[in-house]
Amino acid sequence: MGCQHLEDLYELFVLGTLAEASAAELRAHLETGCLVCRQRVRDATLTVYLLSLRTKTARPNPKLKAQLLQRLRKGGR
Amino acid sequence: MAAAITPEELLGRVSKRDVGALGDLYDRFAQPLLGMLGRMLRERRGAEEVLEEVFLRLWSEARNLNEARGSVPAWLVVNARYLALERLRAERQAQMSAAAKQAKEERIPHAGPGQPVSGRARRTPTARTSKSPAPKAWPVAWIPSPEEVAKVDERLELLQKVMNQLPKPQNEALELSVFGGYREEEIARELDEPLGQVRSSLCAAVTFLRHRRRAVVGSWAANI
Repeated sequence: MGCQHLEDLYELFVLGTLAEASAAELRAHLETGCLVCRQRVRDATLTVYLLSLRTKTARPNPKLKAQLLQRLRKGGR
Repeated sequence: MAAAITPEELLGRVSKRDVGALGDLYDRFAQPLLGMLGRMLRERRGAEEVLEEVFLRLWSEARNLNEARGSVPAWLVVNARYLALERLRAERQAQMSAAAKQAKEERIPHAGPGQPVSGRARRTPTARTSKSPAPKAWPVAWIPSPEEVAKVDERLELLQKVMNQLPKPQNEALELSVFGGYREEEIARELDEPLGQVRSSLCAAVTFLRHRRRAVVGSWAANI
């Protein structure tokens, strides 16, 4: 797979929006270690990061943090 | 006055098994993450479960991410999204399977040609089952650097305003992608538009945002 025609697909890939077959193909290409595509995906992630934060924050249940840290202190994952 | 500790410095401590440092990262990022997850999953409990899971994964992946020098907030956002998407897709698959089974049992005739495509029951089930194994973490090599994310964070408010400049059709498709977790063919069915048109709208939207982002943070050198 060449890289030039993928220019607009990296964001859709990171978003999880690409059709499954196209996403699998791009993922397989990335796993060959293509440096150009890797940098493009990293760049695309910045756009996805921005888009994902386009929402209000929400306070979690206060017990959640305590449960999480207790679980880790007990040696759980 | 001591400089504030960066998320990556906290990550370094997490990679050495400092639970308190993970707690500090939780304090910094849980609220924006939960906001995103709540909007994607539309129910509190599931969103909090994914929030917990993403921090457990950060604990597991801390050493790898630290060595790769990837941005902690970017890692958290991408992996939280990834987990939420998997959850959404498993739920939709289960709903479709249940609907198909019920239709078969009730012998409801299928919609004929010429009827509009709408609603979840019309979607073609994917090959994925609701008992798929948990997805692997997003590869750390694909995570941008802390410096790249910091530039974006510095101009966040301006960049969010730029996003509001998107034309309505592009914004609609993008909304279904970002927070609905839909693939492009599902967006086409939701909007009752041809797949090619949806792909064009989405590509135009992300291209616009990519160029604006690069202009705002001055990253013209990104055209490698």
